[in-house]
Amino acid sequence: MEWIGYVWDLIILNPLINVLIMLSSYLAGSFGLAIIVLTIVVNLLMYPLTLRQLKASKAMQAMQAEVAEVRRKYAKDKQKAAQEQMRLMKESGVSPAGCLLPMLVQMPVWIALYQSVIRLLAIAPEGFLDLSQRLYISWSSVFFQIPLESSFLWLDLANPDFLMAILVGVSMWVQQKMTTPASADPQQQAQGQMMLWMLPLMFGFLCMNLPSGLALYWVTSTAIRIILQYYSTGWGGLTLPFLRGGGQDTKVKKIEGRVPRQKKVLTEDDTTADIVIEPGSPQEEGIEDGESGDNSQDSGGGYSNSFRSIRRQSGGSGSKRRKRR
Amino acid sequence: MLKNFFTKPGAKIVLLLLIVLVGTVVLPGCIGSRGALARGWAGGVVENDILYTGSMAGNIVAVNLTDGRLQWSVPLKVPESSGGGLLGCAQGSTTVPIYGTPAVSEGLVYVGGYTGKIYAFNRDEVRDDPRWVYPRQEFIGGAIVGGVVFRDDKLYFASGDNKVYALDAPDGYKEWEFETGDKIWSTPAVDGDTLYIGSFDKKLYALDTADGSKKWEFEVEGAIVSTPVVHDNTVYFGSFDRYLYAVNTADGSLRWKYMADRWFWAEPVVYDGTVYAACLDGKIYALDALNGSKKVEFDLGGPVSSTPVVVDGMLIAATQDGMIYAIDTGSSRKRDLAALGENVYAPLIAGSGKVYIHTNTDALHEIDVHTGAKREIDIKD
Repeated sequence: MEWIGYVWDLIILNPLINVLIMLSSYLAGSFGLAIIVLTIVVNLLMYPLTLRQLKASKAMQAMQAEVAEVRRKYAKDKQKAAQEQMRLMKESGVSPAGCLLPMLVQMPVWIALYQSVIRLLAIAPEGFLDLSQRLYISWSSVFFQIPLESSFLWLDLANPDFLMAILVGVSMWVQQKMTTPASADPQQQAQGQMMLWMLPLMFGFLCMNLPSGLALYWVTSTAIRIILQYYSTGWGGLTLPFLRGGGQDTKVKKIEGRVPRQKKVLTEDDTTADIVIEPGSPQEEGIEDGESGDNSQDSGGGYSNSFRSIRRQSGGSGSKRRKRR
Repeated sequence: MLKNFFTKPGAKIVLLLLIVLVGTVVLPGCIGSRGALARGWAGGVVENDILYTGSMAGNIVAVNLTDGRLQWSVPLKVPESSGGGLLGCAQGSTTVPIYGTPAVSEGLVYVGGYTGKIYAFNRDEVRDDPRWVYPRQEFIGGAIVGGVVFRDDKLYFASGDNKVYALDAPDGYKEWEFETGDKIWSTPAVDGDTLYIGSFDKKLYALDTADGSKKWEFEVEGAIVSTPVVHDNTVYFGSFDRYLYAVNTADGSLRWKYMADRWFWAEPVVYDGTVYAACLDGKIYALDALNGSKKVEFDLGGPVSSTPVVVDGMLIAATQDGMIYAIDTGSSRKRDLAALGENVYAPLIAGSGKVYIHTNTDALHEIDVHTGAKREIDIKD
């Protein structure tokens, strides 16, 4: 197993460490800026993978209703339920690996970045001795740069910072909220809620104990992902009063994933779900995706009616202006 | 709800990813694999057949070298506000790491704690409470990594708060301090009325021991961690810029410099007209003390960060991975002395025909430099 660590160090960790030191020297010796720039560069390089992940998860979200229906229908036959789910995914062109693979591919990069930062911010003498063996002999200037400048903005990058820990938690919560769809299934809703709070709390807690340089990396990385996600799928599940459309996916049409046309019905009181199938409801039969809701004037309402009701509930800027008058 | 959550396949994957994240990233970074956490590596000083050193448990210990028995062991008091965070990942925990070599005077033994305090204990009448501590309240404000030096009733040391201090050795009152541009990890070298010390600000300073005023400074391109050594009006020291320097003590002018592949961390050793410079590139360079020309180099096969010693005309050196070598300074022959199988970072300690090596497992090994016979001395409480 030792060779894994050796290969990891040789081809991933040590190059990253040396690049970070060089970046720092080009950025007026600011290690904080070097962390930010490298995080941006890495995120941009991985953009295709991130995009693929966003598409796949969007498509998976869109299928939730049908998956739930299949589970309900074949509650007593798990094998059949699994087969049906696989069939649905195949028909939709969605692969679970599409969601997970990009995440798994990205993980080593995040881990390497993390390890680089923690090694470069070594404060104990033991850390310096370890770092000395990772510097490239042929890059003579990296030797002069150590120790790196650890102060950045109000931070001492080598020590924990409470405010940065809070920022990590908040930014992660926002990103998590954007990816968590509302669900009619109580179990899924509970799962979503758990995920929504678990990661931000956990990372916020960790950042209260780890060098704030790592928190800076996490905040930057999460901010980039929020931006990418916004341009890819909109605000998703994030519902804030100042967000036009009350958190509905204003950018949702940009990337829909490879979801085939399927039956979609929105209920009157559904403000966040992309698609909810109400089993046995009259709408299940009559409305095709893309059709105007005006075609069905019944109580369930079509897409357009639903959308209008959402806009009214969310208190868009237009309605506010009318109220003031 | 929790039960339902963990029965979901997606949740299991997320949980797995979290475990992977914590297991491979956070814990190695936090718990200290590859040295993220300060543990200490104190050298030692031998006086009247008693060896004084700092253990990795944060104790100052005295070992009788005749019978190998632990004479006494006193813990450095844990600072109340040592911090450390909820997980104890940041510095400050239940022990005080000790890096510096202690110093002894007639009645006291002195040692610096990594948390930023100097402790003076009675040598003979040992109590848990030290005779004095400096500062009396709180801490210096920077880690003390270098050793303390006792000379003419004064105690000299430097700290991570960028300062060099001189204390009155009997009672621990500050006599003067001198501030540099960055933290200091090296041990001062005192020669006559001048103190020499290197700083992370890439300068070597020569200070007047009377009042701490600066005589001169010598700037290099890398941080200086290596402790300087003074010999024949020349001060020798290594730097992170990969050079070993020889500087004129009179005016701070450069005599010569020699470049290696990696940092010089250990204190150079001057013996019989030759400077032996241990380097983190795994070699010991034997250089002519007068002009810096290389006489010979010895490849030890692993980084050397512990300061070698000369015992009976033999230079004894240790690699970080615990290989001990003896180099005959006359014939320049190198031979294997021992393979300890433990990491060695602490400066080696010279004894009478023997060398003492404090390893990362907190073992103290006694090795006869002629026969290679070993004895392990227990310094754990």
